[in-house]
Amino acid sequence: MEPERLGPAAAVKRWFDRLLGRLPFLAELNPDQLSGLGLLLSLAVYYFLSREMIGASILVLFAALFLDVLDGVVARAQGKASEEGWVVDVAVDRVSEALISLALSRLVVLVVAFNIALSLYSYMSRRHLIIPIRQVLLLALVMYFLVGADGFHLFLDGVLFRM
Amino acid sequence: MNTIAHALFANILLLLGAPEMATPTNLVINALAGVAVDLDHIPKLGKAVRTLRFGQSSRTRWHELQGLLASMLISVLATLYSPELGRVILVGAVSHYFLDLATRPTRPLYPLSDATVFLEMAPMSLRGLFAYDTVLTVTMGVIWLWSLNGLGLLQL
Repeated sequence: MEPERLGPAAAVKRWFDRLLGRLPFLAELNPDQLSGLGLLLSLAVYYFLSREMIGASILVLFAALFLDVLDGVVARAQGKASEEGWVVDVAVDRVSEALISLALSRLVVLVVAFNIALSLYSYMSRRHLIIPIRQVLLLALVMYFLVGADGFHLFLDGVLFRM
Repeated sequence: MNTIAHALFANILLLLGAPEMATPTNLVINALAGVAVDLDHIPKLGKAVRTLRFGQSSRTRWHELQGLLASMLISVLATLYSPELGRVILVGAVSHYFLDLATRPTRPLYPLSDATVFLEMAPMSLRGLFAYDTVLTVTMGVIWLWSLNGLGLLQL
């Protein structure tokens, strides 16, 4: 069995299952290939972030996160949810975060490294304890994109790109 | 993936993402960081020659998530000495784990778990894999030359 997700994470998973689980084409999709496609999109996120093309990076990161959600929904809809599926998810997510962090600050790199350690701990403790780094990054990038050049923008700039 | 592809891919990531760091010395360091992870294959070299491939069993913990964690920490420590050097090493190391996960069966949680991950983005047969690797390596070689030419590091 895969490590147990904690309350909020389990609730989000159920919500996505209800929202997307009845889509007619789910049976045709391969969850591992969806994960792989999401991993490839991380390359584009790295490229756009390193060029400080924030709008483009937001769009591609959103697409990568959507694929991340969809692979889980497809796997559960096809009855393939298993410990192996959890390992695929964890591996793709951590390598994707590591790739994206190449364009970001040392602080983000350290948080990604900590998340890898958390993933290993999750497997040993059988409790899914992960920081949703890409989701938080997406939120931070949207705020960075929308707010003007004020103190908060400078703070985000420091945390994301300079520290 | 083969050693040439790992070196090329590490360089391409650096050239595309941080062209200002792409000096000849940094490109060499970056390529070395990109292939260094494969050093753990050396004890399994004899078996690989016989079977014509390195299976996932030839990968130690340093070739999986534990290795990625160690590489990231080493890179961050290197940034304390030189921010540029740390970044160059980090790009090389991460590129290796990315390429292996995208194209090969891996065991991300090894030695905690033997669960194998394969994203089905590359063929499994030896012949198919050889053709796939060749096409990918040549494509990366072309992108590498094109990027070096664009930065004026190579005159074509």
